[in-house]
Amino acid sequence: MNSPRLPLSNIRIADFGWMIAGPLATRVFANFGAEVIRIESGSRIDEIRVVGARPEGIESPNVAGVFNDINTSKLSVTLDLNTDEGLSLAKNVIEISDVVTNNFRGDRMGKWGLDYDNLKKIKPDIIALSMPMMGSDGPHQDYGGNGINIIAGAGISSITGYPDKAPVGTGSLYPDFSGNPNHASIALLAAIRYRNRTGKGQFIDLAQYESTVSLLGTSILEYTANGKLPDRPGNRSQNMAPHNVYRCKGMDRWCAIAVSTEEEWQNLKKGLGELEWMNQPKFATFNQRKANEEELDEGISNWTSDKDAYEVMNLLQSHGVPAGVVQDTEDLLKRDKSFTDTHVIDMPHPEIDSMKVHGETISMSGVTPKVDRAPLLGEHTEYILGDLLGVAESKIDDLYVSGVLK
Amino acid sequence: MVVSDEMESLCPPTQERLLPYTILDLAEGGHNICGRLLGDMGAEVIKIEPPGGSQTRLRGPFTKNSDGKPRSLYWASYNSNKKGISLLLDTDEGRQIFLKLVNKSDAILESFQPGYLDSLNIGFETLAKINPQLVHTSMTPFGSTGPYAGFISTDLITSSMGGMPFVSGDEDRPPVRISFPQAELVAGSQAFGATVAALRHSRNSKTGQHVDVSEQIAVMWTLMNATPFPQLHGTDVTRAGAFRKRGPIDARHVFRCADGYVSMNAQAKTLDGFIRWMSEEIEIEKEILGFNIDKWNLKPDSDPNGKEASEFKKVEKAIESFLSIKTKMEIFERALSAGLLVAPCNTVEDIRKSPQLEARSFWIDVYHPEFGKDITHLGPYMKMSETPLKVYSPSPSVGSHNEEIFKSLGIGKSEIEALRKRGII
Repeated sequence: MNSPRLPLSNIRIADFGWMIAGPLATRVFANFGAEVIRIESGSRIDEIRVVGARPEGIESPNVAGVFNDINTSKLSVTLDLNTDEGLSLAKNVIEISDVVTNNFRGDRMGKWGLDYDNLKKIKPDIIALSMPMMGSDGPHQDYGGNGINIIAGAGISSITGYPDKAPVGTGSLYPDFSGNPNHASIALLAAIRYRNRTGKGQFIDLAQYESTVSLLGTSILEYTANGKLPDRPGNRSQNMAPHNVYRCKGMDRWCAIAVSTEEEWQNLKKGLGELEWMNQPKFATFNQRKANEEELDEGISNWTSDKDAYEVMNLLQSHGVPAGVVQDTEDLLKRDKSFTDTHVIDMPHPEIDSMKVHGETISMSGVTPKVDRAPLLGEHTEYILGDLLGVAESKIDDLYVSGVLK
Repeated sequence: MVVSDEMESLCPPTQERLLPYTILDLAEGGHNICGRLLGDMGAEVIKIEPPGGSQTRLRGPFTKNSDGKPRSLYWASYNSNKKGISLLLDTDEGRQIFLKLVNKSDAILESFQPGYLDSLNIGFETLAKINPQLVHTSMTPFGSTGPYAGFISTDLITSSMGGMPFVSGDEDRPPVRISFPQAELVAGSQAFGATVAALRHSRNSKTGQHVDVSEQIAVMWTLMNATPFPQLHGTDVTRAGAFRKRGPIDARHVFRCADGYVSMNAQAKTLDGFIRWMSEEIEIEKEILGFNIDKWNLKPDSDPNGKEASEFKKVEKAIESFLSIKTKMEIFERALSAGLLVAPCNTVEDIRKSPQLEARSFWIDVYHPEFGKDITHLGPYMKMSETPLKVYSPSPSVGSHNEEIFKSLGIGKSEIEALRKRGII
């Protein structure tokens, strides 16, 4: 089932990942031609097949929105790893794979005899990726959390929101969908390249906690170098004013405006139609605008509040002022043509009409990724056992009956 | 502490490098992370700045060097493991040298306004003629094409257009962004992945390509839990502050504790664990003890004021008051021993002092000649057993590798001096 001309074809991944960050790390491989095999089981269903947004009234492990989005183009084999035969079939899949991935906490893989040392015995040049929240060693290695906990633990919450309010973090499961899977795919790509050149596999230990801390970048360096702790500044910025989102016409509509230079400030004044109040000395320089920021924000809000957010954006952009609508998901999916045309795919699905999924984020001039539907639970069990592992058809039937392929 | 000369020699020989490529890096701001990641993995990354220095050097935070002059930590952290040369691209001579470099390189990274390099006649089409295997990666706020390609932007603008602030913050306040700018970084790390994939394709097919990375799309990706809602439920995910939607009710996920806040994922095992912990230490109501955990996960269409929902709220209230006198550390220790999905809302200070990060040697002190002192860096965000990631060299000063790089192009010492005098390098 490999697609020969895509850049990542001829790579096979045995994917023990579950929930979000693990599976998302291998999605890009599947869409760019690799054969990614989800090793899962009906006896302990991956929770992401069930939770979150899903069509109402259908009891099925195949229709949840996030599941379908993060597992495009993959295959699914169901194996009960707590049976000897199931485990041995999983090892057979590993034997013909280049990469084994998981994002369990602690030593779950080790309990199946699938830790790196044992994987090497199955396939000496195997590349193994582990993504436990806290890493594979250290005093907190057994702590298991998910996206919500990582946002808080890795400090994103502490710098997001308002100083007089709780550190609420992001409404999205930010690290699950950005840094952590990205960093994991990067490591895998590099390790595959290295193995191709040297014949050596390796173990990649990606602590999701550390990987998310790295997104705080210089907020941490400022503390380590200058002893200064960042606060929760809302949307304010140290070197831009005005810098906020401003209420527009309609329910919960906002436009962001960010002015960094004197030229942009003059442009903003022109864009707003040379309003008298903006010429007051208290807004004449950056330092004065920063000192009177609350009043400045109020003045701009008064101007934006009876206008359409997109009109505000287009008018200000045409005057050379950085401005953008605070788009909601509905805008992104329907209104924002720059997305919907190229990045949202209406994927046919056998159990429901269709399911909207993201395309690949990156466009390349020479390659078009092939984004296919996420697999139904166990959809490719027969292909993987029969075609890939050469198990006889009658034997497969026996395995079904004995519950090994549950 | 490691001195920079020694660090050069720590750089592994080509054969042992993860990524044996030569990369020209013209990117600015957070897009510098793309080249930094390539450098971490052993690629030779050549940072090209204009002779006056990169704009990114003006980006805070700053710290004073040994002469008391402020130097950018932002520059330092995203430009380690790079060599630095200076080159004026808007002169013919500068462009000739640039094209020679392109001819010897595998990829270029840049974040100019769409069309800028074309206007200098060194856009992708021109470069591809000189080096057909070249990967040209662009990182821009809205991508190189489409109605917003010409928009000017900042992190707040791109994040807003990507949909992230809309779902973040308190219900009764305006949408809010993560205060440390993320859009450029997320796009930069995606650009890294795409560049490596394209380099692999280039090796296999002998054709390079243009890789077009949009920050807006990179941001939209971080919302994958929200984007299925309009289609599947006809509703938008909105800001809920310290709460998250659980079926028909808002379940609290941020709780105040004695010395700060913690964030909890209110799933069955965690709720059960909290009820057990409370029952060990305090008198709790029978109704809470007998709470039917199996029924906590309410269906979206069930009654938000019904019996199960109000029972859930009662448990939540009890946890709220129980946690208010516990410290972050006490709660985290219980989470560790009982497997609860709750984590402290750590501050930067908590993170710096984390015993876990200490035990895993996350922090690295690197001597920066430009600062005249050690700067504590964040360590690699992953451990690779065969090819560990390291900081081989600190961020370069303007043109610090001019001689080495230009010499490799056959430009002699006197010529380099002449170019310097004319302000080309």
